[in-house]
Amino acid sequence: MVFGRIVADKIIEEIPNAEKPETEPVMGAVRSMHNKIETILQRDDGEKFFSIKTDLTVTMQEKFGIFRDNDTMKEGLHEIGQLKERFSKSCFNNKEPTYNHALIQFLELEAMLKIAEVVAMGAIERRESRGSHKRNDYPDRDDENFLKHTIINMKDGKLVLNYKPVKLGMFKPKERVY
Amino acid sequence: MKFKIFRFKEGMEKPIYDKFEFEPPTGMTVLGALFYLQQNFDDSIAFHYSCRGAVCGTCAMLINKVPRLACRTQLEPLIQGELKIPLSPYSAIEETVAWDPEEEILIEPLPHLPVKKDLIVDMDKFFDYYLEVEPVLQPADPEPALERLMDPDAVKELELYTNCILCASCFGSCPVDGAKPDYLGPAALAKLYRFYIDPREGNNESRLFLADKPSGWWDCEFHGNCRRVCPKDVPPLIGIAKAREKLNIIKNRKDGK
Ligand code: SF4
Ligand code: FES
Repeated sequence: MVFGRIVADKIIEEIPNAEKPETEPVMGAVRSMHNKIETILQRDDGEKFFSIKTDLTVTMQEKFGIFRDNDTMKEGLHEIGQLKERFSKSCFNNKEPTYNHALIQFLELEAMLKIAEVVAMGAIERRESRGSHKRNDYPDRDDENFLKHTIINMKDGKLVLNYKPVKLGMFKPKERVY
Repeated sequence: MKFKIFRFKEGMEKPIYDKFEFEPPTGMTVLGALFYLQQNFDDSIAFHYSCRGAVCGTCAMLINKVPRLACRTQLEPLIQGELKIPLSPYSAIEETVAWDPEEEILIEPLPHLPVKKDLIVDMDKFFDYYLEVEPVLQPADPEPALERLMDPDAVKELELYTNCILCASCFGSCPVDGAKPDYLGPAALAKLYRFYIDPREGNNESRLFLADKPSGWWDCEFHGNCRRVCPKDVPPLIGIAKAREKLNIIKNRKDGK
């Protein structure tokens, strides 16, 4: 964040006749983040979110480890859904405006839940084994169907699964055997 | 296990100490305990950390009256008295609060820097002093085509000092920094010495003169606390002693002695 800003300012400075970009979109985003934080801090009753973080750790460890299969992962995805539901009603005590570590961890957990879902969706649909994605139900690598990147976009608040072709370089891909 | 934690925030006249008690699992560190307390007792406890693995230098604090990294200090040996480090005395490590070392873990912010909140201190002064020694390589010759080679023996001494992770434990342990607020302190001087001995450096000698003043090399009283508390075994006091020795030689030479 720090260096991004310095670099961006420098680029604008260096380019002759560069137009100053609109600041409004950024300021708008800052304002909406402020509002979001205010609302979070006002929440008083509900489950303390720390237990949800612990449960997410267990789900990811047990259902999305290196060795995985369709059924366990489906269960895992279901659990992530329940955790999201619990999270939406959760809260914490700390209302301090400075060095509010609880708030930071709360926002981090929000992002972690999204990422957990992304991991789950991609892994369930990838019906092959590749690297550390080792599926007991699809033990072999399948270049014909899955030599492609998994891309997950956010559309109207929902995660949507897509694929993107892999740009192959000089070497033809082949299975790694040890 | 009992914990006694320094609490302070803006507007308070003086700090208070909060007490907690829980049985930690084997291997838990002080940083782990702080997370535990935050999650189970009081989520407003403020402290800084980042890597959790003694690499970033963010989590230095005064633990049982010794400046240490919270993430590198385990509770069990601490309570069993195995991690005691005898230090040359200064005011912050004297008894400021009732504390039973056999029963309680005492966690306070790093001394000699202003407290912002609870265990978080303002590091600005520490980094101002660090910047004062111009902590970047200033080679004299033009950039070589490939790389600047160094004699492995020279690197050995250099590494003693480059291992520093800028945690400021030494700064918080130095009686001189407590008594003389403008003393550059062990970390900055160790860094300066490191550039003085760097074979790739172009300004070796003039580097020494950068801290040729009371608040530089000359205020050190060789208490040696810096070396004792350093989590990375950096020996600032040796660098300082060698720098002084060299400066004396250079000055004598100039005086024609
Ligand atoms: S010299 Fe040691 S104690 Fe001092 S800042 Fe560096 S790593 Fe920390
Ligand atoms: S958290 Fe990085 S050194 Fe302790």
